[in-house]
Amino acid sequence: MTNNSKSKITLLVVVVVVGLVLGLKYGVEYYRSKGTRTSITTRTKGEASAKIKMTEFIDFQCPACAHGAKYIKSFMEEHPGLVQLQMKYYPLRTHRHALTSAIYAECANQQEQFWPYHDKLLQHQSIWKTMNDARPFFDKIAEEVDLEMEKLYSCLNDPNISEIISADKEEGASLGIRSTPSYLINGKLHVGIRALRTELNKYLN
Amino acid sequence: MIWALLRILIGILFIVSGLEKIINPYQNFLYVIENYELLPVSLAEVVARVFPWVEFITGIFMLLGFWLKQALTATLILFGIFITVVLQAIVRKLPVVDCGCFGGLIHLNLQTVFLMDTCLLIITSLLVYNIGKTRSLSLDKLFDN
Repeated sequence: MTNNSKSKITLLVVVVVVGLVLGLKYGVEYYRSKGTRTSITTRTKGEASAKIKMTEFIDFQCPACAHGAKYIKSFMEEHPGLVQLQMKYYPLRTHRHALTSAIYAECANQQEQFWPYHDKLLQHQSIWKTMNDARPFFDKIAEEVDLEMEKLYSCLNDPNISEIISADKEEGASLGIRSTPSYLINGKLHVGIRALRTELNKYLN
Repeated sequence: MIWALLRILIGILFIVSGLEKIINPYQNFLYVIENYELLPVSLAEVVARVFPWVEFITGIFMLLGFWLKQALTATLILFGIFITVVLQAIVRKLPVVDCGCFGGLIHLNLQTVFLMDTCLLIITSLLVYNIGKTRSLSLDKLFDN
């Protein structure tokens, strides 16, 4: 075969392969967009009329999530009414207390104390993340935010709580989320704090 | 035959790695790049969109054994880049827990990735050195005069 044929075959290979991959990519994106749940949960704060609708997929043991939470809190305080924030769970397997902390947070949510518990979990993350067993620390936080402890312990054993967390994680995975913190800001995905800052600042300009 | 099989395996590695990054939102790979603190934001965004395609297409050409000299050169350059990026993160003690090399498929720490990429660089160099044998089971052979 000639070199001219080789060039033609090269072009054919590249076009076919790129076409197939792009087809697969858009097919996956379409399929994922069908599975998105849009219900507002009690893990939401801010005005429903806010210009910026943000959903954060969080792992409570992720250091960047802790920094991100501080940034979002101060942003929302400096610009009241601009952001509505909804939290969803995305515990990573690489963080040993990620799932347990999410379960505790959801149990706090069941007693309508999600945000105080969320704030304290992230504030003290550097302490509990190094513990072999962080549950006594999570119990202590529960007492600090005035949770009813009997209700909490009953909730911790409720299999529905793990299902809630799994559902959030599956939703995140279906959107292509692979790490935390990941933010859906008005439907567009942004990963990490730098991307978060850049996107939120656009709304200020 | 072993050389051709090694070439094909490296090709598959790049195809899987590139495909995972292409299929998923590019923002995931952008976040990985940002963690290495090497590139400015605008360049990181370009790299996040383009690099997975470079990996993927290099993998395709390695798998097929097509334009093999060029594919092997690209492979050597890619491994050189990976080793440099990972090594600087280790030396600078950056808080990178997971290299992000294969997206969400496999989680490897930096030291493991450094060793793996170094071995693969050596294997690729041997593939270049034994290019005659590496060309077994390749499309390039169809174009031999």
